[in-house]
Amino acid sequence: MQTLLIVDDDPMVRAALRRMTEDGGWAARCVPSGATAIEVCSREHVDAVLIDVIMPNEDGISTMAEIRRIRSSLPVVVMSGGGRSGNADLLAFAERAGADAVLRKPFDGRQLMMALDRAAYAAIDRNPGR
Amino acid sequence: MSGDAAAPASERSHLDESERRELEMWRAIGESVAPSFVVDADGKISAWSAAGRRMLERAAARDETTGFIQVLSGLTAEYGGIVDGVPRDFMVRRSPLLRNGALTGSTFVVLADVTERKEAERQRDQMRRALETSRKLEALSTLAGGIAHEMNNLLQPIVGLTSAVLEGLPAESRDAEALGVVMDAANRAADLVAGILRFSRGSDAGVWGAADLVDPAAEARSGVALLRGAMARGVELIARFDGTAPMIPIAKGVVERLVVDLGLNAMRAMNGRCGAIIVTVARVAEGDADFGETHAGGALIRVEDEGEGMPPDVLERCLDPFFTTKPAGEGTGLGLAVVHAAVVAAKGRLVVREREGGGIRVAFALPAAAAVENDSDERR
Repeated sequence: MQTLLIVDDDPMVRAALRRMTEDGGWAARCVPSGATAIEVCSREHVDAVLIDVIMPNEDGISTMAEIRRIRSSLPVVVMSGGGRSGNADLLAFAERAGADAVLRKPFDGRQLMMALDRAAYAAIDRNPGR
Repeated sequence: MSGDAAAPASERSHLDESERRELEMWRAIGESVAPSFVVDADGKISAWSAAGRRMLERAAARDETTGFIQVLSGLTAEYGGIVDGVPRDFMVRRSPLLRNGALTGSTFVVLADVTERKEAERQRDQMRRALETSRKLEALSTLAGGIAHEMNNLLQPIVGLTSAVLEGLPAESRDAEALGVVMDAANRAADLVAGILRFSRGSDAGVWGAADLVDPAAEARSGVALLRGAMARGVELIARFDGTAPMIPIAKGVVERLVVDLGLNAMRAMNGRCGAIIVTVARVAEGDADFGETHAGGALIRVEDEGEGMPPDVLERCLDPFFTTKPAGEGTGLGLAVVHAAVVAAKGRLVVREREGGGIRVAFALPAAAAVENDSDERR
């Protein structure tokens, strides 16, 4: 079974995403912060990452970059409630910053699975040698 | 006393020297002052200044003498008159006439011309409203991002878990029906948040930004196609694209979205009536009353309905964010405000007018590609 690392500071969101992930046939590994996510990525096996953009004291996009440094082939899906920072649309920014797929909250299980598929393909395209 | 205060002194030759001097003085005053009258206790006008006489003559010529006397002796404090063919606003001021410290029963009435003051007030009011709207837009724009993030985070477990549980339920079960309602409510909330976000982006040119060259008629056509499905029975959707509209620099999909938003608004304005909704796309003519001066040669997009129309006070405020006449829970009041913000962000202009023959006409003009380039050249 593949494992999805879910990174979100909100426990309600984590609980919902865990159920949706498991219903889709994945195992879920939930963490509340980017720092923990980076730790998990360097020590445990995960097959994909689903990460929130706006979290207290950190942002998902920097975390994504850090995870890429450790494991460049890992598919990363960036999600956001559509909040804005200054003039930028965060999800558009995440795409430009190299997210393999983006998801705007709220989304359902079907959309999550489709995003994971897209991310998997995009990650292969990013790493053609592997 | 009857007739002009400025009556020739010769008519009163029996007056002594001091009385004559007093009369001369009154005559001079009568020529120079604002329209003024003396109204007797029984409501008759017994004296007037020269300007007052002209006003009386004008009223008499139009058979409005009775109404005019009512203005002088009645309760209204304002009077809209016409002087030398120009409409003027007057404030009616009354003071009781005294003789030897006792009331005479007569009243001295002056019509003070307050046209300029009223015009200044109106302009000040308009500016204040514009400023309020722009402040509201700015504050909302800042707030919207934060609210959207929080709301969508709260909606995530609702949408995610409800759909997860729904999948495991037999489609026709009571529980599935109940959760279906939860999903509908959550989706409506998500739509509302999306509307707020669109609104905040609309007021933020940079985000609509990355402009393509867009054919407004093509976009309006696909907007109209989407709208067809939403038309109620008895409402005809008419598209009038004359092929003259120029290409405009704007992000793809914006014009379509605006046409759909305005079309849905028009649909709601029909409110069960039969009639037409007319979508027009054309080039802004130089003589266009609304856009000729600002956007001649640009693209004109207009959505008219034969619906209920709006009372003037509603018409005036219909672009304010969150202004709605619908009962609580039935409308966010963001529809027109979103469209307006998007149009302004694209250097366009939007007007809402009463339509001749009933209904409302919402039109906006967007600058043609060349106009925008010239504009940015000038700013460099």
